[in-house]
Amino acid sequence: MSYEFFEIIRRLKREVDEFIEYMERRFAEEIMGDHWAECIEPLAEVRELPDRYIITIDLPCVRDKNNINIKLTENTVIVEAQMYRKVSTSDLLSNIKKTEFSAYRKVIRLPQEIDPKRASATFKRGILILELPKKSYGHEIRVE
Amino acid sequence: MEKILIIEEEKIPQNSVLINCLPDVGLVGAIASSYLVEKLDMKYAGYLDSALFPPIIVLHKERPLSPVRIYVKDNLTVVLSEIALPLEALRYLAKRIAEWAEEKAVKTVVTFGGIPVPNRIDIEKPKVYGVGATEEDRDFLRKNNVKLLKEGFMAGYYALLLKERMKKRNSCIALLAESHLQYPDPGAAASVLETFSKIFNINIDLKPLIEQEEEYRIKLKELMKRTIETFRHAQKSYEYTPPLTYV
Repeated sequence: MSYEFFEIIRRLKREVDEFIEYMERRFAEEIMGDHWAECIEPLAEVRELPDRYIITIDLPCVRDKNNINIKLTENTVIVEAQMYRKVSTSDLLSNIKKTEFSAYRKVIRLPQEIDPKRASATFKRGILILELPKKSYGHEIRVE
Repeated sequence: MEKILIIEEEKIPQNSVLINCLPDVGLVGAIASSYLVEKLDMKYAGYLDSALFPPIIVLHKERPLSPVRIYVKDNLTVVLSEIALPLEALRYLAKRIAEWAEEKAVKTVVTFGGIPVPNRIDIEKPKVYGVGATEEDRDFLRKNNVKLLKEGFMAGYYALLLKERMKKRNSCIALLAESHLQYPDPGAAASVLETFSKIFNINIDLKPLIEQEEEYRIKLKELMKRTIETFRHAQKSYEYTPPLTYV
Protein backbone atom coordinates (compact mmCIF):
# COMPACT_ATOMS: atom_id res chain seq x y z
CA MET A 1 0.00 0.00 0.00
CA SER A 2 2.70 2.52 1.04
CA TYR A 3 4.83 1.50 -1.99
CA GLU A 4 1.93 2.29 -4.33
CA PHE A 5 1.30 5.60 -2.58
CA PHE A 6 4.94 6.70 -2.98
CA GLU A 7 4.98 5.48 -6.57
CA ILE A 8 2.00 7.74 -7.33
CA ILE A 9 3.74 10.68 -5.61
CA ARG A 10 6.94 10.01 -7.58
CA ARG A 11 4.99 9.86 -10.83
CA LEU A 12 3.17 13.10 -10.00
CA LYS A 13 6.46 14.80 -9.13
CA ARG A 14 7.99 13.62 -12.43
CA GLU A 15 5.01 14.96 -14.38
CA VAL A 16 5.11 18.31 -12.56
CA ASP A 17 8.88 18.58 -13.21
CA GLU A 18 8.36 17.81 -16.87
CA PHE A 19 5.59 20.38 -17.07
CA ILE A 20 7.75 23.07 -15.40
CA GLU A 21 10.63 22.26 -17.75
CA TYR A 22 8.26 22.50 -20.73
CA MET A 23 6.89 25.86 -19.53
CA GLU A 24 10.40 27.22 -18.98
CA ARG A 25 11.39 26.15 -22.47
CA ARG A 26 8.24 27.73 -23.97
CA PHE A 27 8.88 30.94 -22.05
CA ALA A 28 12.48 31.10 -23.25
CA GLU A 29 11.36 30.47 -26.82
CA GLU A 30 8.75 33.24 -26.55
CA ILE A 31 11.35 35.72 -25.35
CA MET A 32 14.28 34.63 -27.45
CA GLY A 33 12.51 33.33 -30.54
CA ASP A 34 15.05 31.42 -32.57
CA HIS A 35 17.97 32.92 -30.70
CA TRP A 36 18.06 30.24 -28.09
CA ALA A 37 21.11 28.38 -26.82
CA GLU A 38 23.40 30.09 -29.38
CA CYS A 39 21.67 28.31 -32.21
CA ILE A 40 19.32 29.59 -34.84
CA GLU A 41 16.37 27.61 -35.99
CA PRO A 42 16.52 26.85 -39.71
CA LEU A 43 13.55 26.85 -42.07
CA ALA A 44 12.13 23.36 -42.47
CA GLU A 45 9.35 21.68 -44.39
CA VAL A 46 7.68 18.40 -43.39
CA ARG A 47 5.81 16.48 -46.07
CA GLU A 48 3.76 13.48 -45.06
CA LEU A 49 3.32 10.66 -47.54
CA PRO A 50 1.28 7.52 -46.81
CA ASP A 51 4.39 5.45 -45.99
CA ARG A 52 6.96 8.06 -44.93
CA TYR A 53 7.83 11.61 -43.98
CA ILE A 54 10.10 13.73 -46.15
CA ILE A 55 11.71 16.58 -44.25
CA THR A 56 13.82 19.25 -45.91
CA ILE A 57 15.84 21.74 -43.88
CA ASP A 58 17.52 24.84 -45.30
CA LEU A 59 21.08 25.08 -43.94
CA PRO A 60 22.89 27.96 -45.63
CA CYS A 61 26.54 28.37 -44.58
CA VAL A 62 26.86 24.68 -43.78
CA ARG A 63 29.48 23.39 -46.18
CA ASP A 64 29.96 19.75 -45.35
CA LYS A 65 27.75 16.80 -44.46
CA ASN A 66 30.21 15.98 -41.67
CA ASN A 67 29.09 19.16 -39.91
CA ILE A 68 25.56 17.85 -39.59
CA ASN A 69 24.40 15.75 -36.69
CA ILE A 70 21.03 14.00 -36.88
CA LYS A 71 19.41 12.24 -33.94
CA LEU A 72 16.27 10.22 -34.45
CA THR A 73 13.86 8.62 -32.06
CA GLU A 74 10.59 7.04 -33.06
CA ASN A 75 8.75 10.36 -33.01
CA THR A 76 11.42 13.07 -32.85
CA VAL A 77 14.03 14.42 -35.23
CA ILE A 78 16.83 16.60 -33.88
CA VAL A 79 19.15 18.21 -36.39
CA GLU A 80 22.20 20.21 -35.36
CA ALA A 81 24.57 21.70 -37.91
CA GLN A 82 27.70 23.78 -37.70
CA MET A 83 28.15 26.78 -39.99
CA TYR A 84 31.52 27.55 -41.56
CA ARG A 85 31.31 31.12 -40.24
CA LYS A 86 29.59 33.02 -37.48
CA VAL A 87 26.33 34.81 -38.16
CA SER A 88 25.47 37.94 -36.22
CA THR A 89 21.99 39.09 -35.20
CA SER A 90 22.73 42.20 -37.26
CA ASP A 91 22.88 39.87 -40.30
CA LEU A 92 19.37 38.83 -39.37
CA LEU A 93 18.31 42.50 -39.22
CA SER A 94 17.14 42.02 -35.68
CA ASN A 95 17.03 44.87 -33.18
CA ILE A 96 17.84 42.68 -30.20
CA LYS A 97 21.21 42.70 -28.44
CA LYS A 98 24.01 41.72 -30.80
CA THR A 99 24.78 38.03 -30.52
CA GLU A 100 26.63 35.65 -32.78
CA PHE A 101 25.61 32.18 -33.86
CA SER A 102 27.51 29.47 -35.62
CA ALA A 103 25.07 26.58 -35.47
CA TYR A 104 21.58 25.52 -36.35
CA ARG A 105 19.27 23.43 -34.22
CA LYS A 106 15.90 22.11 -35.21
CA VAL A 107 13.63 19.77 -33.29
CA ILE A 108 10.69 18.27 -35.12
CA ARG A 109 8.07 16.12 -33.43
CA LEU A 110 6.29 13.72 -35.73
CA PRO A 111 2.65 12.77 -35.31
CA GLN A 112 3.28 9.13 -36.27
CA GLU A 113 6.13 6.81 -35.26
CA ILE A 114 8.98 6.23 -37.69
CA ASP A 115 11.52 3.45 -38.08
CA PRO A 116 14.87 5.22 -37.43
CA LYS A 117 16.85 2.22 -38.74
CA ARG A 118 15.42 2.62 -42.24
CA ALA A 119 15.86 6.41 -42.36
CA SER A 120 18.17 8.09 -44.84
CA ALA A 121 19.63 11.57 -45.30
CA THR A 122 21.18 13.51 -48.18
CA PHE A 123 22.71 16.98 -48.27
CA LYS A 124 22.76 19.02 -51.47
CA ARG A 125 23.18 22.77 -52.20
CA GLY A 126 22.82 23.59 -48.50
CA ILE A 127 19.56 21.68 -48.09
CA LEU A 128 19.25 18.56 -45.96
CA ILE A 129 16.69 15.98 -47.04
CA LEU A 130 15.55 13.31 -44.60
CA GLU A 131 13.44 10.33 -45.65
CA LEU A 132 11.83 8.73 -42.65
CA PRO A 133 9.78 5.57 -43.27
CA LYS A 134 6.80 5.17 -40.97
CA LYS A 135 6.89 2.29 -38.53
CA SER A 136 3.59 0.82 -39.53
CA TYR A 137 2.01 1.54 -42.83
CA GLY A 138 -1.29 -0.25 -42.26
CA HIS A 139 -2.20 -3.72 -43.46
CA GLU A 140 -3.07 -4.44 -47.03
CA ILE A 141 -6.35 -6.24 -47.66
CA ARG A 142 -7.57 -7.86 -50.85
CA VAL A 143 -10.71 -6.62 -52.53
CA GLU A 144 -13.09 -9.57 -52.79
CA MET B 1 -11.40 57.57 -48.29
CA GLU B 2 -8.90 55.70 -50.44
CA LYS B 3 -7.98 52.29 -49.06
CA ILE B 4 -4.42 52.61 -50.38
CA LEU B 5 -2.58 55.93 -50.39
CA ILE B 6 0.35 56.59 -52.69
CA ILE B 7 2.53 59.40 -51.40
CA GLU B 8 4.92 60.71 -54.05
CA GLU B 9 7.91 62.53 -52.60
CA GLU B 10 9.74 62.86 -55.92
CA LYS B 11 8.60 63.19 -59.51
CA ILE B 12 7.53 59.84 -60.93
CA PRO B 13 8.46 59.51 -64.62
CA GLN B 14 5.70 59.11 -67.22
CA ASN B 15 5.84 56.21 -69.71
CA SER B 16 8.14 54.20 -67.49
CA VAL B 17 8.37 50.45 -66.93
CA LEU B 18 6.87 49.78 -63.51
CA ILE B 19 8.16 46.83 -61.51
CA ASN B 20 5.92 45.80 -58.63
CA CYS B 21 6.99 42.98 -56.30
CA LEU B 22 5.83 41.59 -52.97
CA PRO B 23 7.18 38.76 -50.81
CA ASP B 24 5.87 35.55 -52.38
CA VAL B 25 7.08 32.08 -53.40
CA GLY B 26 10.80 31.75 -52.53
CA LEU B 27 10.83 35.54 -52.02
CA VAL B 28 11.94 35.70 -55.66
CA GLY B 29 10.27 39.06 -56.39
CA ALA B 30 11.30 40.62 -53.10
CA ILE B 31 14.97 39.64 -53.58
CA ALA B 32 15.04 40.60 -57.28
CA SER B 33 13.38 44.01 -56.84
CA SER B 34 15.44 45.08 -53.82
CA TYR B 35 18.63 43.94 -55.57
CA LEU B 36 17.65 45.94 -58.65
CA VAL B 37 17.07 49.08 -56.55
CA GLU B 38 20.45 48.68 -54.89
CA LYS B 39 22.51 47.81 -57.97
CA LEU B 40 20.99 50.51 -60.19
CA ASP B 41 21.29 53.00 -57.33
CA MET B 42 17.64 53.96 -57.71
CA LYS B 43 16.28 57.01 -55.90
CA TYR B 44 13.69 56.81 -53.12
CA ALA B 45 10.59 58.55 -54.49
CA GLY B 46 7.74 57.88 -52.08
CA TYR B 47 5.73 55.27 -50.27
CA LEU B 48 2.39 53.56 -49.94
CA ASP B 49 0.22 53.52 -46.85
CA SER B 50 -3.01 51.91 -45.79
CA ALA B 51 -5.00 51.07 -42.68
CA LEU B 52 -4.94 47.53 -44.08
CA PHE B 53 -1.13 47.29 -43.85
CA PRO B 54 0.41 45.84 -40.68
CA PRO B 55 1.44 48.54 -38.14
CA ILE B 56 5.11 48.37 -39.11
CA ILE B 57 7.82 50.81 -40.10
CA VAL B 58 11.30 49.82 -41.15
CA LEU B 59 14.53 51.58 -40.20
CA HIS B 60 17.22 52.07 -42.83
CA LYS B 61 20.36 54.04 -41.97
CA GLU B 62 18.52 55.43 -38.90
CA ARG B 63 15.65 56.69 -41.05
CA PRO B 64 12.13 55.33 -40.43
CA LEU B 65 10.47 54.33 -43.68
CA SER B 66 7.30 52.67 -44.86
CA PRO B 67 7.96 49.03 -45.77
CA VAL B 68 6.14 49.60 -49.09
CA ARG B 69 8.13 52.11 -51.11
CA ILE B 70 8.66 53.63 -54.54
CA TYR B 71 12.04 54.00 -56.25
CA VAL B 72 12.81 55.64 -59.58
CA LYS B 73 15.64 55.95 -62.06
CA ASP B 74 15.38 57.11 -65.68
CA ASN B 75 12.46 55.23 -67.18
CA LEU B 76 12.20 52.63 -64.47
CA THR B 77 9.93 52.73 -61.42
CA VAL B 78 9.97 50.08 -58.70
CA VAL B 79 7.27 49.57 -56.07
CA LEU B 80 8.42 46.99 -53.53
CA SER B 81 7.34 45.69 -50.18
CA GLU B 82 9.67 44.49 -47.47
CA ILE B 83 6.88 42.78 -45.57
CA ALA B 84 4.24 40.21 -46.39
CA LEU B 85 0.89 41.97 -46.72
CA PRO B 86 -2.46 40.57 -45.57
CA LEU B 87 -4.86 39.22 -48.19
CA GLU B 88 -7.48 41.94 -47.58
CA ALA B 89 -4.88 44.58 -48.52
CA LEU B 90 -3.82 42.82 -51.72
CA ARG B 91 -7.09 43.32 -53.63
CA TYR B 92 -7.08 47.09 -52.99
CA LEU B 93 -3.35 47.32 -53.63
CA ALA B 94 -3.58 45.63 -57.04
CA LYS B 95 -6.48 47.93 -58.01
CA ARG B 96 -4.68 51.07 -56.81
CA ILE B 97 -1.38 50.15 -58.47
CA ALA B 98 -3.24 49.49 -61.75
CA GLU B 99 -4.98 52.91 -61.51
CA TRP B 100 -1.73 54.66 -60.60
CA ALA B 101 0.06 52.96 -63.50
CA GLU B 102 -2.61 54.39 -65.82
CA GLU B 103 -2.23 57.88 -64.31
CA LYS B 104 1.49 57.67 -64.97
CA ALA B 105 0.96 56.25 -68.48
CA VAL B 106 3.15 53.30 -67.55
CA LYS B 107 4.29 51.35 -70.63
CA THR B 108 4.15 48.01 -68.92
CA VAL B 109 3.87 46.62 -65.40
CA VAL B 110 6.39 43.86 -64.67
CA THR B 111 6.28 41.47 -61.75
CA PHE B 112 8.94 38.98 -60.69
CA GLY B 113 7.96 35.73 -59.02
CA GLY B 114 8.65 32.06 -58.51
CA ILE B 115 7.04 28.86 -59.72
CA PRO B 116 7.53 26.27 -57.00
CA VAL B 117 9.08 23.09 -58.40
CA PRO B 118 9.64 20.02 -56.21
CA ASN B 119 13.02 19.18 -57.79
CA ARG B 120 14.48 22.69 -57.39
CA ILE B 121 17.40 21.20 -55.46
CA ASP B 122 18.54 19.40 -58.64
CA ILE B 123 18.28 22.49 -60.86
CA GLU B 124 21.53 24.37 -61.39
CA LYS B 125 20.00 27.33 -63.22
CA PRO B 126 16.25 27.88 -62.89
CA LYS B 127 14.28 28.39 -66.10
CA VAL B 128 12.18 31.54 -66.45
CA TYR B 129 8.65 31.53 -67.84
CA GLY B 130 6.50 34.47 -68.82
CA VAL B 131 2.84 35.42 -68.55
CA GLY B 132 1.55 38.33 -70.61
CA ALA B 133 -1.75 40.12 -70.03
CA THR B 134 -2.21 41.18 -73.66
CA GLU B 135 -1.47 39.52 -76.99
CA GLU B 136 1.23 42.19 -77.55
CA ASP B 137 2.85 41.20 -74.24
CA ARG B 138 2.86 37.54 -75.23
CA ASP B 139 4.33 38.39 -78.65
CA PHE B 140 6.98 40.51 -76.96
CA LEU B 141 7.91 37.57 -74.68
CA ARG B 142 7.98 35.08 -77.58
CA LYS B 143 10.22 37.39 -79.64
CA ASN B 144 12.60 37.56 -76.70
CA ASN B 145 12.66 33.76 -76.36
CA VAL B 146 10.84 33.71 -73.03
CA LYS B 147 8.80 30.53 -72.79
CA LEU B 148 5.16 31.27 -72.01
CA LEU B 149 3.29 29.43 -69.27
CA LYS B 150 0.65 27.51 -71.19
CA GLU B 151 -1.72 26.01 -68.61
CA GLY B 152 -2.19 26.23 -64.87
CA PHE B 153 -3.30 28.58 -62.12
CA MET B 154 -1.63 31.67 -60.73
CA ALA B 155 -2.65 32.71 -57.21
CA GLY B 156 -1.94 35.64 -54.95
CA TYR B 157 -1.02 39.26 -55.59
CA TYR B 158 0.46 38.79 -59.05
CA ALA B 159 -2.74 37.14 -60.23
CA LEU B 160 -4.75 40.10 -58.93
CA LEU B 161 -2.47 42.63 -60.60
CA LEU B 162 -2.59 40.80 -63.94
CA LYS B 163 -6.38 40.72 -63.67
CA GLU B 164 -6.59 44.45 -62.97
CA ARG B 165 -4.36 45.29 -65.93
CA MET B 166 -6.23 42.83 -68.18
CA LYS B 167 -9.56 44.56 -67.42
CA LYS B 168 -8.42 47.65 -69.33
CA ARG B 169 -6.26 45.73 -71.80
CA ASN B 170 -3.14 47.30 -70.37
CA SER B 171 0.27 45.70 -70.63
CA CYS B 172 1.44 43.50 -67.75
CA ILE B 173 4.18 40.88 -67.74
CA ALA B 174 4.98 38.34 -65.05
CA LEU B 175 8.44 36.76 -65.15
CA LEU B 176 8.44 33.59 -63.08
CA ALA B 177 11.47 31.43 -62.29
CA GLU B 178 11.52 27.84 -61.09
CA SER B 179 12.07 28.16 -57.36
CA HIS B 180 11.81 26.75 -53.87
CA LEU B 181 8.39 27.34 -52.32
CA GLN B 182 9.33 27.82 -48.68
CA TYR B 183 13.00 28.79 -48.80
CA PRO B 184 14.42 32.13 -49.98
CA ASP B 185 15.74 31.51 -53.48
CA PRO B 186 18.35 34.07 -54.63
CA GLY B 187 19.28 31.75 -57.55
CA ALA B 188 15.74 32.05 -58.92
CA ALA B 189 15.86 35.83 -58.38
CA ALA B 190 19.11 35.95 -60.40
CA SER B 191 17.45 34.02 -63.26
CA VAL B 192 14.48 36.40 -63.32
CA LEU B 193 16.75 39.44 -63.34
CA GLU B 194 18.89 37.97 -66.10
CA THR B 195 15.80 37.56 -68.29
CA PHE B 196 14.54 41.03 -67.37
CA SER B 197 17.90 42.64 -68.19
CA LYS B 198 17.97 40.91 -71.60
CA ILE B 199 14.46 41.78 -72.70
CA PHE B 200 14.45 45.35 -71.38
CA ASN B 201 18.09 46.07 -72.21
CA ILE B 202 19.09 47.07 -68.70
CA ASN B 203 22.53 46.06 -67.53
CA ILE B 204 22.57 44.48 -64.05
CA ASP B 205 25.62 42.92 -62.42
CA LEU B 206 24.27 39.65 -61.03
CA LYS B 207 27.58 38.26 -59.75
CA PRO B 208 27.22 39.54 -56.16
CA LEU B 209 23.70 38.11 -55.91
CA ILE B 210 24.93 34.65 -56.86
CA GLU B 211 28.06 34.89 -54.71
CA GLN B 212 26.15 36.03 -51.61
CA GLU B 213 23.36 33.51 -52.00
CA GLU B 214 23.89 32.00 -48.54
CA GLU B 215 23.84 35.41 -46.83
CA TYR B 216 20.51 36.21 -48.48
CA ARG B 217 19.09 32.87 -47.35
CA ILE B 218 20.06 33.53 -43.74
CA LYS B 219 18.94 37.16 -43.71
CA LEU B 220 15.57 36.44 -45.24
CA LYS B 221 14.70 33.46 -43.05
CA GLU B 222 12.25 35.42 -40.89
CA LEU B 223 10.56 37.17 -43.81
CA MET B 224 10.13 33.79 -45.52
CA LYS B 225 8.50 32.39 -42.39
CA ARG B 226 5.99 35.22 -42.29
CA THR B 227 5.32 35.00 -46.01
CA ILE B 228 4.56 31.26 -45.74
CA GLU B 229 1.80 32.12 -43.24
CA THR B 230 0.07 34.20 -45.93
CA PHE B 231 0.19 31.45 -48.58
CA ARG B 232 -2.79 29.55 -47.21
CA HIS B 233 -5.05 32.59 -47.35
CA ALA B 234 -3.82 33.50 -50.82
CA GLN B 235 -4.87 30.04 -52.14
CA LYS B 236 -1.29 29.35 -53.26
CA SER B 237 -1.99 25.61 -53.29
CA TYR B 238 -4.01 26.23 -56.47
CA GLU B 239 -0.73 26.61 -58.31
CA TYR B 240 -0.26 22.85 -58.02
CA THR B 241 -3.72 22.14 -59.44
CA PRO B 242 -4.32 21.37 -63.12
CA PRO B 243 -7.08 23.58 -64.53
CA LEU B 244 -10.47 22.16 -65.40
CA THR B 245 -9.77 22.14 -69.14
CA TYR B 246 -7.28 19.30 -68.59
CA VAL B 247 -10.07 16.93 -67.56
